[in-house]
Amino acid sequence: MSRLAEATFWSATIAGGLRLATPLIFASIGEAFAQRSGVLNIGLEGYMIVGALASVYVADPTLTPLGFVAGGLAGLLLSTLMVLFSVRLYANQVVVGFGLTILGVGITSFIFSLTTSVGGIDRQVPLPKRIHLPVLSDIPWLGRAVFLHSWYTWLALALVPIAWWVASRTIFGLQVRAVGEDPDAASARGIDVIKVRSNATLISGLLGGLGGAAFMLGAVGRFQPMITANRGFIALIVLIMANWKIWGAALGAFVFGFFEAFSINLNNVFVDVPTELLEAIPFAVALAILTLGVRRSRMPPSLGTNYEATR
Amino acid sequence: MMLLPEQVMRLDVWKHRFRNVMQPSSLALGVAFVIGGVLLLGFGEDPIAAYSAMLRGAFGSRFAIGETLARAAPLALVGFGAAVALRAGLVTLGAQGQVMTGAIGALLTALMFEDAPSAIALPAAAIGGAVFGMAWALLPAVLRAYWRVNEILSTLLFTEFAFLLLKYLLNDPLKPPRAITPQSVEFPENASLGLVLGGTRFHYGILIVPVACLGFAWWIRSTRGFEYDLYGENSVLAKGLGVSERRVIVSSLLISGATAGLVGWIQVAGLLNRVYVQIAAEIGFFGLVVAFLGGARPLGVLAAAVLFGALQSGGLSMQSAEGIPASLSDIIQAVILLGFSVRYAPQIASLFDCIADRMMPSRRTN
Amino acid sequence: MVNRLTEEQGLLADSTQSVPEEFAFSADCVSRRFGDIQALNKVDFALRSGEIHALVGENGAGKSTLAKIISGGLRADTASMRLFGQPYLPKSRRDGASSGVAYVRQQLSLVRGLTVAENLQLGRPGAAPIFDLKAAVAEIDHWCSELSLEVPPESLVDDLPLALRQQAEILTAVAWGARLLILDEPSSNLGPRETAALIGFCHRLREGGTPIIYISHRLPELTELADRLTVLRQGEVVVSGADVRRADLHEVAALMVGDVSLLEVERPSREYGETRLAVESLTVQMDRSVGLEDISFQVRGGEVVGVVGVAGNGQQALAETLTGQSRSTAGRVVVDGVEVTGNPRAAINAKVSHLYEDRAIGLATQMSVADNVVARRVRDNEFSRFGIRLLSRIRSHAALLADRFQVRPPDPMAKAGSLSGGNQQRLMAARELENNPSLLVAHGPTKGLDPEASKVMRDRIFAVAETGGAVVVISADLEEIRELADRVIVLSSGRIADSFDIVEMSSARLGAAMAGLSDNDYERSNIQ
Repeated sequence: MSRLAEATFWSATIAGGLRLATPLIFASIGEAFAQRSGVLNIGLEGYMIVGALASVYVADPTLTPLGFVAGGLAGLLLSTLMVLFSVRLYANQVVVGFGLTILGVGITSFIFSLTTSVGGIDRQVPLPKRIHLPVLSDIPWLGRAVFLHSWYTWLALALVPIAWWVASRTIFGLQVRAVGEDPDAASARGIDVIKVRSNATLISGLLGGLGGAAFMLGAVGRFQPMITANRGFIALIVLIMANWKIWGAALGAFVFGFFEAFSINLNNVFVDVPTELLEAIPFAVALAILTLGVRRSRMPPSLGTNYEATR
Repeated sequence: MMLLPEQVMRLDVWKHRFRNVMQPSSLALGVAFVIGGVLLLGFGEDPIAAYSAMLRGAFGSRFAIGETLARAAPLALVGFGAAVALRAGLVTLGAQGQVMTGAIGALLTALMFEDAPSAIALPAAAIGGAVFGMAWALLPAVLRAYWRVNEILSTLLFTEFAFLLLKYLLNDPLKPPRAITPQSVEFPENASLGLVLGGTRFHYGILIVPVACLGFAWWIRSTRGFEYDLYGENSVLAKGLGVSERRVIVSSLLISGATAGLVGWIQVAGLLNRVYVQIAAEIGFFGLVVAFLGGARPLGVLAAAVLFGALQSGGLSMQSAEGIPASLSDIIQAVILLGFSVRYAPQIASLFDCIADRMMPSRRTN
Repeated sequence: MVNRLTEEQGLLADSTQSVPEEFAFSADCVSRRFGDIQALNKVDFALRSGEIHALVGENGAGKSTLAKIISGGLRADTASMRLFGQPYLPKSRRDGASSGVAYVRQQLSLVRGLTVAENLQLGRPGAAPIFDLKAAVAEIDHWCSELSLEVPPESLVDDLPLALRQQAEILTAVAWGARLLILDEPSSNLGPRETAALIGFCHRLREGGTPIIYISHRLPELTELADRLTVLRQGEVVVSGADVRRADLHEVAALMVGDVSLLEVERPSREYGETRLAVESLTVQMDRSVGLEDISFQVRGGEVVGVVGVAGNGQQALAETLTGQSRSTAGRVVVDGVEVTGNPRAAINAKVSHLYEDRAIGLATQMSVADNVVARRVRDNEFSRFGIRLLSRIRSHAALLADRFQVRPPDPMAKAGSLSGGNQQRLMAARELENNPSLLVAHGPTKGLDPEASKVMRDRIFAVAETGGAVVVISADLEEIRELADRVIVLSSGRIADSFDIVEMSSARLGAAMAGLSDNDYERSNIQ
């Protein structure tokens, strides 16, 4: 119990939280774009896992950035199926999403099994170094918590303001939001609803893949089937917590990461409170926000419904 | 020979059914196996060997059939429940969590009746499972009915809660004293479901499925089910005809919760005899998939469940027999699902209508 | 960016002054047909520069059709149009917009979940990929000061009251370079104060050099608002470009409605029964359309009351409340002594029948004909026992009804959505009219029916009255009302503007009520 009073515990937890949050930040920001345009992307899990596999395939200890990009591309590729089936052929979004998740998990397991036995991709990518910043990393407590992270985390943090800027200060961002709010009105204004939704979905594929890659290269290092363990679904929940806003998504991702780190660190120390209770807190927060916020909810009204393009 | 009006009507019924279901579906199946075959070839494996191993693993022996049924049963049950909700216009992802709570409920109830005769303990456990499953669906149902909270998201959250609850219970209160991995105490003997076929995993719980199928068919036939379908189809009209929206929402979701809870029960009482963290496997999600594939209809859901059960058990067997990863069958299942998902797309529908009209000209309306 | 635009418009204003065009827009011989219906028939129309020209007419007059043609959303069959002195033949609304024509409709095109500033840039032709919030806000503020408006640029459109939303939409059109505005029924959901503000706004726009085509069916506000007026009736010009200040509005109102004298129609005398429908001080608030204000009337058994008025004056609210689907803010609806307000089940039990205006809502299009036809009575002993539907009985009964009501093809298993529009209408009638309703609310009952089928439908409606039911027909078709109704109630802005026996119906009286000219008759509306 006394451990909780120690500063190092908290700084380690915050640091762990940021590290665990990194893949979630990528995935939930990507998902934010998709959902704001009205596409409920249950297949996010699929994008993440194919991203994870692709990143390990391509990455060499010296080539990790390339692996990272490859992961993004793999996610992007899978999301083209979502675009085709759901956005363009009007199939039920939830069903297609499940299909893509199963497909992603299945294909990655399949490739992994077959190539491992042949001595192919069984590689362990070393974990990235933490970047030591000149003055900031040496600040007594804050330094360890916030300023000593791998470049993946920094990239994720940098992504947040960029994504916010795209969402609220570019015409594309306006279009995405318009399409999610009222596809009929947007269409009447000359916006190609199908195209906007397609692009938003592809973004979620790309970022989802990057999230999987960040998870693999930044935290785990070695691929196992189903390694992403439902992080894709968690990203969906993060978005609920965030009330569909970008900064909120980053915050929500951090909350999840924090509680996960908290329960891990706590487990090493102190076993009175069941860790599951701690792990449940972020979900409870999400539920509260979902329920109480119904009136002020910024859930895109057209979320989950398909828009059929009429001439 | 002149057909009586009733006969004409009956023919039309079947003709309608055929047209609605057959065409894009079989194509999806075919495409899935072709893609699987291509993948196998790409990695230097033999598709024929793979598929025949799969087939043998699904239907080739008593044991295989038992496996297929043991896997298909939970999918079918969850599917029936999810289908009831789908018909009312609700998409629930809660089955996964409800299977877990159902399993817990069945176990707790059985433990309560540990000293009672089987005739009491067995049904009690079943009821316990169903009730716990229903309870887990209650809050999302109420949230949706009274506050219009999106049920897809709320049931997803509750599934996560269920998972955490299960983990907790299996790590502490329900864990046998000397066990190392998370698990529950053993399910009491007097409430267990025995095996129908020795040497297989075909347990008595599986026999619930035909009953549930009939129950589902009865539901569709009933006036209440009709009103719920009407609501799912056109909620404004249904409300205008006096159907209570809140009742439809809550009842449909509770029904789906109860069936998922029953699945939890049969998994514990019949298949595994203990509750594990993995008790729900992916049943909840695949159950919804099966409901969708089956067009939310009794025979369709049943057929889809058997298909996926066969693919899953066949896949595992193929892996042990030929060394080809079982994940191939997951890929096939995914492709089938994707293929089915677009069967109502206008572009595809008009394509198939053209083909179908040539193959089987029907009486066109006006 | 802002400065460039205003400069450009300043330039244009200059150019129009140096080469004065008398007419900002003129159209010769505009015709447009939709299937059997001639929506516009050789219409001539001219809009002078710097004027507000009111385009006036009842349902189906062709106002919206003409507006769509002018804005480019619709192609005319024949037309010769000139805009700002140049020949004008837009191929799309974008074309029209880039030529400077902006069409502001009742359902505003702003996206409600975005702010005004964001809507300004959304879909704007020539907008840069980057959204400059500051510039957009500045632009809106600029126009607000130019036009004496107070539209907060960073508010969500959804949070604004309707009047401000409308202002924002018009402001956006002006900012995008509109040089001619078409406003379609802008005052329909506005109260008196907001209407006055709208009038002021229109005047400022006019002073700024933007001529306006103001479409309305409400005459009172036009005296203050407009310069000239043109009356359309059933696709033809009845009054062309008359000076508003010198026009006799009552005469205009009568012309809008046309000849509604009853000399030819036979009306067999009938005995009326007890009062079956009593509407008491009914006030209803609707989300997206006009509600009802303190409506009271009664209908006796065997009586047919026709509710007329330009679409969008509360008809939907009335239909929904009479059938128990909408709740009231005040007042109640009583059928055969049973209150049915806000209680659809009570309405069904009281045998209230509803022919929905929109077939897509009135039928379950994905379900079979049989399911649809029996939907009201599925719980009857005839069709279900112990909670199970007796499918063969349902099917045969459906076949019978389909035959009786001439639904083609009479196939109980066919999907309702596969039927043609007219057959769908008959299907709905089969469901609702089968069992001697106590009250029939028929909303647009002959929509989509050819003349012969319309006659059959009207006979059926009449039959309901003959068997002692009370009938309320809500219709935009004055012919229909003439044939069916014993009494007429005119709805205007959610109130009963006038109410009279069918024999008292005259163009003047009906027109005045529909055009909102007889608001002082409101006191007389609490009749019978």
